Amino acid sequence: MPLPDDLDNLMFEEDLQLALWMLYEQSYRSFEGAHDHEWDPAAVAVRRRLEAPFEAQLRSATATMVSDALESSDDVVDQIEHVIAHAPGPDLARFLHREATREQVLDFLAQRSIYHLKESDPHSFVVGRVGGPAKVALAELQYDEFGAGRPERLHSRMYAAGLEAAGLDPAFGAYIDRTPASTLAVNNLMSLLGLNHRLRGAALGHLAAFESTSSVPCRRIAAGIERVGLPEAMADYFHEHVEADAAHEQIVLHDICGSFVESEPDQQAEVLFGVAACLYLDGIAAEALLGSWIDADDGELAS
Amino acid sequence: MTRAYSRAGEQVRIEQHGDGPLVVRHADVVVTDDGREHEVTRPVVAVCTCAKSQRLPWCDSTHKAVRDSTRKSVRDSTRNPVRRA
Repeated sequence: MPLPDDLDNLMFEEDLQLALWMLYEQSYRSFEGAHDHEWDPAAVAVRRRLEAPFEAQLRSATATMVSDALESSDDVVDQIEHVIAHAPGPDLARFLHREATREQVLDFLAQRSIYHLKESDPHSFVVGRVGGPAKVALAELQYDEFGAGRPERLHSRMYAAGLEAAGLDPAFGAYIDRTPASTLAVNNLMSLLGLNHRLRGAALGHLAAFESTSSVPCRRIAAGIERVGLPEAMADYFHEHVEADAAHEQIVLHDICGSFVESEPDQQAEVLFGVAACLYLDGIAAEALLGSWIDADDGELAS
Repeated sequence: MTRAYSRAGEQVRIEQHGDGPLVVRHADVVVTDDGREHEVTRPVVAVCTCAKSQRLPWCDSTHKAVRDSTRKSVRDSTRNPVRRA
């Protein structure tokens, strides 16, 4: 099954991203009764056919971010922070904090449900792919994400409770029809990295970017949710991440990525690819979301 | 000096990377300089060391904003800012 020749930016191709998302979801739990396709050779062949150009385009788009970081320092933690400090993209959290309407905040929450209702699942595939101190630290971080022994603190469950309180549908995939290609691409990247052993370094880098750029934005998003008068249960989810991710940032940079690169030095650039790909796609998705709100307003957003 | 202890007598581990927060593991209580005791509800917590957090004693990553604005003002004062695409 060849891809059409005229595809330009795959991050904006709805059909490709949706197809890839459906194929990846076979490895989670969202399609009840349809799990037989996970190892169906035909489905795997299509998945590989779609994910190869997706990965290639991400590598090409982030090559400069990675090479700049490699030149900036020899230390992987400094390099990760370099990529983060120079990543492009609008400040979506700031907009949600200060300016978004109630409807725009709800739109954001609905679209993000594609990830937050299965939060941390993609990175869990990596635990079995690494060893030593990096494995211990990754398990420690995931344990906290999965509620640290308290089911009511399971982050995906907190998000579902928040959605319900805000009058949104807490069922996984409820908003898939209005999720744009760029947001699907953000999710597909996590599955691509989590489900391929050869991409384990990039998966850890992705986690580093995710956790290291979460604490301050979550504080802003929580404040935005409170500003537009949405329920406390929804804000709680983001409040939870302010303190949690401040700790996770330290764990993922030093104990996960630092230890991993020490044990597998040839993976250093791969870790940075994961960091850069995460932030590159986050930037594109944020831009697309803000752009859709401008279009809907048929005018310009206040800056 | 911030201290931490475990009621079960577990060995508490405290680490710090650079000027970041203290990373505290296996603690039930963190004791701040003013003698106040703070219950730990997570397996690992980050304790603020810059005193700028809005959730003291816990780190909320405000130190990064402080650090970034310091860097920015240093960069601005050179009148030769490094620009990146």
